[in-house]
Amino acid sequence: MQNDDLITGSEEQTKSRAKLVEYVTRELLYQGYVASRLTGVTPANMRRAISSSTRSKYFIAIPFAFLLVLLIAEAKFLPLNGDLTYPVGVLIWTFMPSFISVMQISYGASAGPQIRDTLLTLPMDDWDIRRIATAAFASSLRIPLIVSVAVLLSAGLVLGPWLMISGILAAIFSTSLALIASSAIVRVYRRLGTTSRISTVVRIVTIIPILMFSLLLGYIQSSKVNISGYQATYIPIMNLDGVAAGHLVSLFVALSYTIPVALIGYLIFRRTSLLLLSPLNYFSSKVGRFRAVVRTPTVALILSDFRQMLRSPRLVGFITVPFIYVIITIFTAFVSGRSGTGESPQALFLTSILPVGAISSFLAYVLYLTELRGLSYFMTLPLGRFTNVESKLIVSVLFYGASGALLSAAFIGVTGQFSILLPVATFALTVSACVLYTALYFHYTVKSMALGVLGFINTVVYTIINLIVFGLPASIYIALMLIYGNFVYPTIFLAAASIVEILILSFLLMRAE
Amino acid sequence: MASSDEAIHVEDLVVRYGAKVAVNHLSFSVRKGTIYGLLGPNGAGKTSTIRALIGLTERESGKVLVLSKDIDSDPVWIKSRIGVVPENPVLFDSLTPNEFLELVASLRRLPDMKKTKSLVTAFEFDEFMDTPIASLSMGNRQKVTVIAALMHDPELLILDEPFNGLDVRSVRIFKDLLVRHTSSGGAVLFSTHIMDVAERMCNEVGIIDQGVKVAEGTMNQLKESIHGSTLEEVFLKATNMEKEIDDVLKALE
Repeated sequence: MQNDDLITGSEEQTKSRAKLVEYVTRELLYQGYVASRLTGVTPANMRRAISSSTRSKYFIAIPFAFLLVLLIAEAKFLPLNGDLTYPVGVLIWTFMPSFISVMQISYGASAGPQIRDTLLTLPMDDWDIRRIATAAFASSLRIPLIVSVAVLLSAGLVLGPWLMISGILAAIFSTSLALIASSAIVRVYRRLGTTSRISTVVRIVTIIPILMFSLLLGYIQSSKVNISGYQATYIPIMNLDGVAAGHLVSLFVALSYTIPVALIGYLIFRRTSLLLLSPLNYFSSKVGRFRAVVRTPTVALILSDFRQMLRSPRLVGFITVPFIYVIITIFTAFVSGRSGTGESPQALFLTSILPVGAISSFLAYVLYLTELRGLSYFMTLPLGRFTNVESKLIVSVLFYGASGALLSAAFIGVTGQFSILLPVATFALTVSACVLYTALYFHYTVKSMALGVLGFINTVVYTIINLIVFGLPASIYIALMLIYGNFVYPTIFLAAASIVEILILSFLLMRAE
Repeated sequence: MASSDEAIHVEDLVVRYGAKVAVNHLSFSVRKGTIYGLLGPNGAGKTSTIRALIGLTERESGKVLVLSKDIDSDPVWIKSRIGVVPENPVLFDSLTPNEFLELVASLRRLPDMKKTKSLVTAFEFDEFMDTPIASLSMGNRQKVTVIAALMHDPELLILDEPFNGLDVRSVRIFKDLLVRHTSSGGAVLFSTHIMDVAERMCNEVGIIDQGVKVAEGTMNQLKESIHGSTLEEVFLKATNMEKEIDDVLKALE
């Protein structure tokens, strides 16, 4: 009888723990989704918010899964770079979804109520709380992980067992690295959560190597690496080539570094998961005193945008990407320029300015999204309809201009061609058109908002249209560049297409009620 | 019919969220130089009314005049003349009060920050000026919104639970500032759950329940017509809560 009671009690405890994990997971998804609350009012329809949040995980997982499928197809039909292409590709494309998911959840959890404090009020010891927090976090990441694992396992049917094993090892290694990297960022943000300029710089500098890592893996993948037998056996990552070829020694070596990294990743993630559940606090870097000054509305908004950009982990991650492109492109341009076998200025332009311009075209979206948190208050202020648009335009163009100027300097240094400045400057018009579209989108989204959060479909529609607004002039430019082989005529058409877009969008914005 | 001494004129206001009618044909007005208390139980429609007044929530029908103008006709003009303390204000968390007040003052195109500085000193807030808003306590966040609402000497103050989280000293200062504001011709609309405060401060009170106005008048008028000795009694009778509370208490015995 006593034993039966004990068993029942233990089962009950397990059930209630599982229930608690489920509740915390739901709360995490909910908070993650409403971190960008539109109206400042907590959404009434929690179920809808959670299902939207779950759909957004598929939105992250499916494109990366599609890339994995492409990799499998490439490994099967176009084995360009030996057997290393597949595992390194897997390494990259499994790193990103885990990294993005942790950052997304941590942002939401940090902005939410103090889940951790609520857990601490329950009759459980620290160890239990830690386990529940870790399980809830892992559960909130399950969709991208399950999708990736399913694709990688099915690769075995197409590529055979050894390539599949190399891919799975790469996925375990990169997912662990993603957990370590995202945990490191969260910890750095919490330790250096001050408003001082030095802390801001340190926070940005921490993110750069992590993003550089994923981009550099892309370079390993695309470069023509000659792998010797020694590398194929003993050098981490490189020896995945040996695993793919079925070498048992390579497999043991790969296991010898993958298992410890996975364990470290899990332990760090477990420690961070509890930390993630409490709000992110910034601290003052100096003793407070009144020193506010009145500026013009536009300058005040621009300053406020920059301040928020540099203090938000999500935004810092976003703004560092173009600068990493800049670093890599400068490096590539100089190396290829010196070797004499480099790419043409046109090709360099396409592979660097276009991505930088495309990323800049989304900056206004992220800025508006950040602003939504204080929107209900913001809307009580006497803000003219175009003042905010003006500030977003200036910030986006400045942001694009800074990265574009660095890239242009690198091009000119290598090729001596000043004509590159023409299209670089003209792309600022295309970026401006995207800002106007974003302003229009937010105008109508805020107006029609019932739930208080941005809907999933709504976001997808925005992304597609913004890509069209940017892509239309860009594709005209690319097509004409291929025809004429220089920058002049394509730039004229690029300017014309962008100006037409600006005129149409300004007209729509002025008429918007 | 709106008159020129009205700071707010609401006529037949209807606010609807999907199938739910939050405000149902509500009419009231706030005269200049007075404090009007909008009272009601949780979910009665007070916040929806306030949000409709400042254009944060779309109204389905009805007329809303703020300082004799429709909020949709010239929102910037109206917003530059009113001060708002929203319920549970969600501000830009990563900014410090220095940066936030600078932004608000700049958007309001204030000539200088003298008034803001004296408010910061009055609320003993200097030491928190460089602490990011995310790290402030609820009471200190409330102080930021109170300072931001008063910094430009508005003609009309719209306050939704304005004393939430404030310490005794700050409540006292804020109440005195409100009285001073009305004695110089300004108007105040505020919603609160604290009946004592409403009873002592409001010249006129409107009680709403489920979006409908159930009672309105000066304190004496309400006490006479609803037969209550305090505003709390009046409130409970007007919203039919007295019997419900008795039943609940009996069930708890």
